[in-house]
Amino acid sequence: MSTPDSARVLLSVENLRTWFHTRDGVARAVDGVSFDVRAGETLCVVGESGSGKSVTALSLLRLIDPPGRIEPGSRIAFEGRDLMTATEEEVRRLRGNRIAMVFQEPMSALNPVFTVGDQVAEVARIHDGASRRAAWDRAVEMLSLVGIPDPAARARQYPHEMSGGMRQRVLIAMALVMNPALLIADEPTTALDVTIQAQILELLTSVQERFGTAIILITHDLGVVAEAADRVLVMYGGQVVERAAVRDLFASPQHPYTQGLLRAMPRVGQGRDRLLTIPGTVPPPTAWPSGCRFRDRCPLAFDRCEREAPELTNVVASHAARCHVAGTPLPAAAASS
Amino acid sequence: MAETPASTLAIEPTATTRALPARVSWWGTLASDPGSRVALGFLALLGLAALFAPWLTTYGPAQVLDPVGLQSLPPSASHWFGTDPVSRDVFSRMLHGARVSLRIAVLAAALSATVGLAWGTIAALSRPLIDQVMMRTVDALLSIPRLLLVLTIIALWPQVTPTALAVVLGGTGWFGISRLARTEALAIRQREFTAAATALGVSTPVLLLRHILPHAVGPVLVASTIAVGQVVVMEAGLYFLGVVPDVPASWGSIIQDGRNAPLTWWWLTLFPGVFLVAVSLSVNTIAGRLRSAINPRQLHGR
Repeated sequence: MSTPDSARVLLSVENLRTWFHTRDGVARAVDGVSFDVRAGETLCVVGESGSGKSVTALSLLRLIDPPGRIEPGSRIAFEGRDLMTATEEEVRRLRGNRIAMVFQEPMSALNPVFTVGDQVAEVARIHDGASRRAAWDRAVEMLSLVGIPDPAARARQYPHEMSGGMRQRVLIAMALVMNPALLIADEPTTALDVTIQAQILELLTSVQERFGTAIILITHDLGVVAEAADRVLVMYGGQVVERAAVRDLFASPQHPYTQGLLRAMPRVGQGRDRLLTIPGTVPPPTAWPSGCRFRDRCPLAFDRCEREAPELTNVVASHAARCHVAGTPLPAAAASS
Repeated sequence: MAETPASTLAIEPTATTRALPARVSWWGTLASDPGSRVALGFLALLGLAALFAPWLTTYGPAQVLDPVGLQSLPPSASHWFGTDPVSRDVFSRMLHGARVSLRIAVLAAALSATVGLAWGTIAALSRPLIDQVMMRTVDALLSIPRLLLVLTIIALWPQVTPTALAVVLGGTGWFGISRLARTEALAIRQREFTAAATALGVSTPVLLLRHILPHAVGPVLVASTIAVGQVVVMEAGLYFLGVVPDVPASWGSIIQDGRNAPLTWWWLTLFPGVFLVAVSLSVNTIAGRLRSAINPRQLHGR
C-alpha cells in the first residue's frame, strides 16, 4: 500500500495515558503513548496481550468506562479538533461517522435479535437522519460493497444465519456506512479461519484504495503487519517501544522486543527446528518494573536499564525505539537473521 | 467507481449452504404442550364467557330473584351453580365476576411489567449512585409485606373502583420484576454488540430501547404472567375480606356470602374456589412453559 496523501495528519495522539483505578492499585494500561495517523495510510499496532493495544483504540473514541480514565494531560486531536475537551454528544457524533471501529469477535458484535440489514441501516439513520427506506437501500448497497452476494436477500437474515467471515463483512459494512476518515480495526481477523483472514485483509485494503480511508489495524500477527501496514507501532507495557515504516521494521528492528517478536515468527524456507520465544510474560499493569519495562525479559539488559527508563528516540529519521542500546552496534545474537 | 474489487472476492461455501435453523415461536412452544393447550383453552373460554356475560346469563349479577322461595338453593337445572342467601343466581354472578377479576388481573400485570421493566433497565444503565438509590428503594419496598402495603394504600384511597384496585395491585407488584429486568439489562450490557453499537455512535436512550429492551422483555413477560395468577387470587381475597367496596359481583364476595355456613352452602365456596385455582394453575402452567422456551436447556432436561 502506498500513502499518496502522507503529508496530512488526520489523528494526532500525544502522551495518552489511560489508567484504571482499581482496588488493587492503579493499572497503567496505556502510559504515555504518542503517534500520528496520516490520511489514507495504514498504521499497524502490534504487541502481546496486555500491551495496551485495545485500550489505546478504545481511548481514541473515548469509550473507556469507569474505573478506567483517560488521565489529564493526554491529547487526542482528530481533524484538528481536540477530542479531550469535546462534549460527550460531540464525540458520539464522531463515532461511526468520521471514526468507525470494527471489533474482534464477529460472533458477538452483532445484535442477535435484529437482521443484519437493520443493523447496517441503523448507522445511517443515526448519523444521516435517513428515512427507513433510504437507510435500508443504503444498507443493501453497503453489503454489496463488502462483497456479500445477493445482498438484498442477505440483508433480511439474522446474524446466526451467517458464517463468521460474512458477519465480519457485515461489521465492516456498518463501519463504512458514513465513509469514515479513520477506521479502527481491533484484531479483525483473529477469530477467523486463515483463508477468510486473507479475504478480510484484502477487503480492508480495497476499501482503503477506493475511499482513501486511514486504518489503524490492531493485531498480534506479524504476517498481517507485513501484508497490510504502511507504518508500525510496536507496543509493550502500555508504551510504544518502536515506531517505524514497515520495511524498516522488518529490515532492521531496533528494540530487543521487536527483534524477539520477529525471531518468534515462522518463515518459509528457513530450516529452523524450533521457533525462539521471548521468555516470561508481560508484567501486570499495576506493577511495571522500574526503569525499562522490558528489562526482566530482555537479553541485552544491563544496570542502566534498571535505573533509568529509556525515552522513545529516533535511531534514524522516522525510526524510533525506546531502548538504551538502540542505534549502537548490536551483539550478534540479537541481530535479525 | 466502475470496478468493485471487494465484490470479486471469493466467498466461502459454508455461508450459502448452511441450513437456516428453525426459529422457535412462543406459540409453537405452547401448542406442542398438552398441559399448556388445556390451560390456554380454559382461559380463552373464560375470557369469552366474561366478555359475553350479559348475553350468556339469564339474570343480572345483583338481581334478587325471590328472597323467600329461591334463597340458598343448591345447584339445579335452572340455577346451575345454585343461589345465594339473598336469592341471587351464582352462575350469573360468577360470569360477571370474571369480567372484574380478569380485567383487574391483566391491567395490574401489564402495569407491573411496564414499570418494572423501565425501572430495572434504567437503573442498570445509570451511574452507580443512581443505580444504588433506585435498587435500594426497591429492596425497602420489597421488605414490606405486599398485603400490608395494599391495605394501607386502599385505606388512604378515597374511592376504590376496580380500575383503582388494578392500579394499586399493579403498583405494588413490580418490585421483583424490576430486579429481574436490571439483571437482564446488566448481562446484555456486557455483551459485545452493545459496545459495538456505542462505538458506532448509538446514544444511551437508543441503546436502551433498541439493543437492551428486546432482550429483557422475554423474562419479564414470563414473570408478569405469573403475576396475573397472583393478582386474581389477591383481588378475590380483598373482596372476600370486604376491605374494598363490593362491585355488582366478584369471586371473592361470592365466597364471602357463603362464609357463615360453608359446609351447608358448599356451592358458594366450591365454584369460585375451583375457578380461582383453575385460573391460577392455567396461568402458571403457561408461564412455566414460556420460561422453558426462553431457556431451551431446561426443556431438554425434563
